[in-house]
Amino acid sequence: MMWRTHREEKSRGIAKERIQSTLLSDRTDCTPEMLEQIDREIFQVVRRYFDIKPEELHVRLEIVKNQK
Amino acid sequence: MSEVIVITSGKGGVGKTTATANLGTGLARMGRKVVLVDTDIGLRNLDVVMGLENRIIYNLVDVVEGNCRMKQALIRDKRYPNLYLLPSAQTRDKSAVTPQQMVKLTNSLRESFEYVLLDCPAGIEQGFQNAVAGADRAIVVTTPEVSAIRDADRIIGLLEEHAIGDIQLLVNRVRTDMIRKGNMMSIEDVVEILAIPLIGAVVDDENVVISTNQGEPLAGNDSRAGQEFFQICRRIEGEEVPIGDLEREEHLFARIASFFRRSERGVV
Repeated sequence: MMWRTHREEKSRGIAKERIQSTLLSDRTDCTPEMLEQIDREIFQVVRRYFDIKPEELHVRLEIVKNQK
Repeated sequence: MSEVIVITSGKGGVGKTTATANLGTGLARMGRKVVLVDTDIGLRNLDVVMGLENRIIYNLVDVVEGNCRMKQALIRDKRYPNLYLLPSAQTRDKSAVTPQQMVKLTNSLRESFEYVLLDCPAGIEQGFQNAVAGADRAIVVTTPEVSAIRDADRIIGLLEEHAIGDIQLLVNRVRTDMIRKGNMMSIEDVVEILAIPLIGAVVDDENVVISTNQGEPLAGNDSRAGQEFFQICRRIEGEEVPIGDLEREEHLFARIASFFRRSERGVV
């Protein structure tokens, strides 16, 4: 039954990953492709200054709305 | 001091009406003067969950249109001295009431009640706009599922636009067995994703279905969901009730239950 346990352990993680990326798209009003593009472009900028690989850069996007 | 709390979710079927009925019942059991308002015009259902469906004479739209006085439309729940229901209209639609009229209505209820709980319709259209118009505080109900969480996130954004500062999360229908197997997001996962304070979590308990069948909310009784709803009521009151570990509590419940099963058979 090992395979079954393995598959079951994944569904929570899959759900969490899917909802988080969906909400990021919803909240920013960007398509997932646009978000990936932002990721790539930020990497291009950062690697001019640091010698890093794409997987070493973690981009976290947070939009703080102006308080009225 | 009175407080107007809207119970909302975006998605339908996650337990808004059940939560409204149970939180109202729990607060009334604690001695608070409470009115429950069904704001879902055209799809009335809080009355049947409360078991008060046979006592409706006037409704919310009648009050707004001046066909009756507020007192005539309020149904007193005979089981609790301080619990009332203002039912919705079944044969009208959402455009029958405006947000301004709802503000006026909730303000007049503030004069007589400590808690005004508004059961919000699903969706983000006028019914939602009406329900949130007069609210000070919001409880967002979700389940640990991607569809419900997505809609809850949208609702939270809209509540923030309405400048409702006090927004709390109720995670409903939690299956601890599935969480343990890694097949359901945990309460912590949901709180992390939605990033608002948690007011409580309620397990998926078959007693909720039974109580709805009977028209008797279970807040405060011995069932797990009944206890959890009651704890949320205490937190609404500002009491510091620790949010327990549902899984550990379940084990304890299971142990107690098996203890009694054994003692019934005389094996202790």
